[in-house]
Amino acid sequence: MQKSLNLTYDEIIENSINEIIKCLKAEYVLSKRSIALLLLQGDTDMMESVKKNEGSSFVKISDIVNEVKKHYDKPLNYIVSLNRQKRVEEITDKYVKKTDKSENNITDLISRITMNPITGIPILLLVLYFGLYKFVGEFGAGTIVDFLEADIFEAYINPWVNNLVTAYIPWHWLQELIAREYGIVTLGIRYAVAIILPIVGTFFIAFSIIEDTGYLPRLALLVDRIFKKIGLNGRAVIPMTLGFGCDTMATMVSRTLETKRERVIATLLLALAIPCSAQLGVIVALLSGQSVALIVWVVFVALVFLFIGFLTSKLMPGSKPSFYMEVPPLRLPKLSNVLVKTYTRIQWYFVEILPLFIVASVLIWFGNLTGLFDFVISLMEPLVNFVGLPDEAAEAFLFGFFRRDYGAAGLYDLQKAGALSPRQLAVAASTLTLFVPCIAQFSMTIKERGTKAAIAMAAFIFPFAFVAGFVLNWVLVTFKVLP
Amino acid sequence: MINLTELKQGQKGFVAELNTNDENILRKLMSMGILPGIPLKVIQTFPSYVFQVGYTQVAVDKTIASAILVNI
Repeated sequence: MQKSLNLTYDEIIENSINEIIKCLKAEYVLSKRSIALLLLQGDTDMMESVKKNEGSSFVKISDIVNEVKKHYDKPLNYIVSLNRQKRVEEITDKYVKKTDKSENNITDLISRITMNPITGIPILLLVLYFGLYKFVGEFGAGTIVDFLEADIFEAYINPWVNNLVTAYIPWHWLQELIAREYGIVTLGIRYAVAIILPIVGTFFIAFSIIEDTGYLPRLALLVDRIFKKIGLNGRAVIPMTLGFGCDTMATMVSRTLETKRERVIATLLLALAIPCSAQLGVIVALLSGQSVALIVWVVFVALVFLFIGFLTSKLMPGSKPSFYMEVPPLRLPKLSNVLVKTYTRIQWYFVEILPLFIVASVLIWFGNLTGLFDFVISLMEPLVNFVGLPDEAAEAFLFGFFRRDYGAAGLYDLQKAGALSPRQLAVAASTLTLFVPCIAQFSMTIKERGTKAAIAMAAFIFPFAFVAGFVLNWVLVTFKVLP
Repeated sequence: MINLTELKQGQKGFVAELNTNDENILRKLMSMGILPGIPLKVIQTFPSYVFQVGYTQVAVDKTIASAILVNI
């Protein structure tokens, strides 16, 4: 028989507990005393359950609880916790011995410099530079992608699949569906395995390592003040940084934010101004030779992020966010934990995203075959001209709707052909970053925020991206920032 | 008894009272084990308030920090 710890509260609470117990007629898993205490503390789940099980006597129970509340100037939850705390202290005083360690050990020091803004911001930049730019950008999106794309897919798999369909499939339309330029295997699977997998994989490795060191709560407390200006609190830094990996996953994670207002703002900003790793990889490659264009793009997207966040927080009703967070000690990440987390995230990514890749390449195939795409592209040409880009960029933007990175990859081809000036590159990259989220993110937004909110966001983002691109182009031309 | 926001970095004390009737804030503070009688030490005050309370370190914004009264 388990020995239970008895805790006696004051007379008012004890009496009310006994009265409530008398009213409880149904059978419960918990003891009736525990249930009475939970009811006094306003536990919503327990109230629902008792309401269902007790029927009419629930009214009487509510009366008892309300009567008790009148005796205290603080919520009963607090009163009960105080009593428990007192008891815990009595016990720990008796049995726990604490020896003071020296307070200035090395972990403490590192912990402190990550939290101090003067040293913390340079550390953040270092984390971003090595974690994101070097590891994800150069190693994942560069080295590994090049190897898988050029040395595996383009050298072996694509020619093999192309030959296979030419040899065995007599119908042209089916050949095109499986292989060649926009086929399921040669485009959809190639993109998923050779481009997205290495980028997202390296990002998830970097993110898991950073997560396991306990760095994220420190980052959250550093940015809390800035995030408050855009209607969020420091906690939102977690979905936001995750967005640099995959906006779709980040949109799902944004449900951990406390208020509906914060969730809406976070979803909007993720859809608008946070480029995912796949897009980042291609954009960084696109602008790599053009350092001024790269800086213009970073500054512009950051400004849009802050400006739209600020505006939304002013326009949206609701209570102001508050920030509280436990700061865990800094730890060395455990390899096995990092691997398991990365594995489960990649697995999620493939299960959720790979089908959408295939759908996207089927849609692109359909659009091309029927000439629908040519029509839409001709409609979009005036729009891309409006932001100072050549006609050919329209195709890249249309593809950007199917996958953010398809679009960026399309621009990459244009840049290689020398069709874009540095200014056009910066404008194109910025507009494309802001432009509608990919299909996967859009469907996740519908799932998490509802159809109405998702459509409203898309209806805002689509024109806004082009107007912002136009303004950027105008500023760059007027002040002769980029040729 | 003074407000946590008036404490300087490195100052120590004990939590005296949670001075708010906002159930949300109370619940948050209690869930992190911030209750009267617990020893507290301020680690930093900007950009967020960070303090050691009992065996945990906690970061909060000014609104929440000002709900904590401290005996020094």
